[in-house]
Amino acid sequence: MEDNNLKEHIIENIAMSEFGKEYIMKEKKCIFKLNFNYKKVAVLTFCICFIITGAIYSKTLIENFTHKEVIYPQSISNAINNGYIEDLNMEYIYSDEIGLKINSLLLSDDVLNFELDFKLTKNISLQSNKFAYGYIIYNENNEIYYFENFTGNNSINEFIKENNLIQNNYINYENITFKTFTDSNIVTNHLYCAQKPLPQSKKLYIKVIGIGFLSSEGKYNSLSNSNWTIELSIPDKFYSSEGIEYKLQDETKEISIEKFLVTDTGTLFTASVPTYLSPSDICLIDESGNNYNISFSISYNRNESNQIIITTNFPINKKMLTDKLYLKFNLNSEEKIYELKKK
Amino acid sequence: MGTHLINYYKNDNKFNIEKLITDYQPYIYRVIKNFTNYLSNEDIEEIIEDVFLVVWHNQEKLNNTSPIEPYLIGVTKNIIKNKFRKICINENVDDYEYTFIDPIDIDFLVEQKEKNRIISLALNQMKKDDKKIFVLFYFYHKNTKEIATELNLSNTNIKIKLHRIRKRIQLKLIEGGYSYGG
Repeated sequence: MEDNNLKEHIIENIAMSEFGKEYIMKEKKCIFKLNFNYKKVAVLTFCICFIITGAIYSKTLIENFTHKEVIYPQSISNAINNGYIEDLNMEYIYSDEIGLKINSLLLSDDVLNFELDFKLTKNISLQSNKFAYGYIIYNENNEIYYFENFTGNNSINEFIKENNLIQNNYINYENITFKTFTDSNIVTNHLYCAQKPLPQSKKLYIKVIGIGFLSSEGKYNSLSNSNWTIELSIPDKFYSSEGIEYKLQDETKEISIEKFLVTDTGTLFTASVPTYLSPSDICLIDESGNNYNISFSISYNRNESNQIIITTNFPINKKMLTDKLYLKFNLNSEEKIYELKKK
Repeated sequence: MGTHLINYYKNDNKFNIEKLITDYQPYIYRVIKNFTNYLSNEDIEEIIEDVFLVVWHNQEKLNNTSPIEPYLIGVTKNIIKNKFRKICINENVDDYEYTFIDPIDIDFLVEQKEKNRIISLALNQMKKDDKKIFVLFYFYHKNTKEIATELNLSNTNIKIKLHRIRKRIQLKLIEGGYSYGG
């Protein structure tokens, strides 16, 4: 390897190590190395594993099932149980003999959740393929909430350019859960959590472009190149909902809160911190002493002063609030608790 | 080149690993060759990579007023020893008139290299631009605005790309047996 290539390789390795600081990994396997030798593979692995299947994009082989439960963070399930969801009761719209409708919708400042319901009239083989499609969500002001394209073609990007849609970086976490999977019906639950307040929208458009399957080798097989667009009017209960903002009771040099917003479905939190934090280093505590760990993950960025900016979500919503609220951090192995107050 | 102190490679408490690599990569190569003739070029390159990874990992523990060379030699020795426990390595101590420092802990290397191998798989499947964004953010510690300016893209575009890069790597790590959590 040339000197410059080796230097590049070293830099890449360091970059990967820095990335690793953002994500503290729980090893599923304990690896005991008997002979430390890079050339020979001499690793004895003991597996005592609890496999957490988050069903991210359901890339594993899928068997037929119906009505699989969607696992929500506490604040979202609490909101749904309190009626903060809209069942749409719409008819399928058809294109290329495939029907699509949306079963339910939930929208707040920090969460977008809906269910896509596909009715398939064509013959498909489910044993070796994985259902895949391209989709985009945007509002009446052409602001994109999110888009993803599993078809491998350029259809979504072309649609964005042709319609001058505005790209934003709203979403911190996204997950698709397959609720129903049969030969004739596939229902997917889409959950998005924001890292900054979602735009207030009167209309939402959900567009699906292209439907197919991924083979076991990851190759996309098209079922249809058609597209389906569903226009949704946002119910007033979502449109007019407002969040509650908090700030630190006492200023501190270590933590500077940029956003602490409690909504109907959860809490958005952005702050500058002195060091990388893992999910276990930060939690919310209410007046009753209940601890709320983060809902999903922490996003990291840096500001112009090169400070570390973290963004995350807590599973506490407006209905779950108590009079007092505290932030607990583990900073450099030292526990620090900060009281919050409403702005 | 004379021996530099460690603080020569620190700017505002940031460790200038790039300069260290440029200055000492050939030197470490010679050190390895002097220690043993049993290593292939591939092994030597791997050891050099590990040396700088260890230095980067331990940068905050370094004594700023100590010379850098004995530290590098100490790290190199330990990595070679770990690589070939059963091979007898002849060390010509007389060639080096420095005090050898205590061996540092390099056990993190095993786990780190395994994770890096998996992350590398994800990176190699990405476009060149995405890989560049990854390195600019995680090695050069540039913020998204600076990266956007450098690559002539919008700040939002960079943020979205970074988000997707992280997601892809995370998925690869999950496939590789690592789950995200505290």
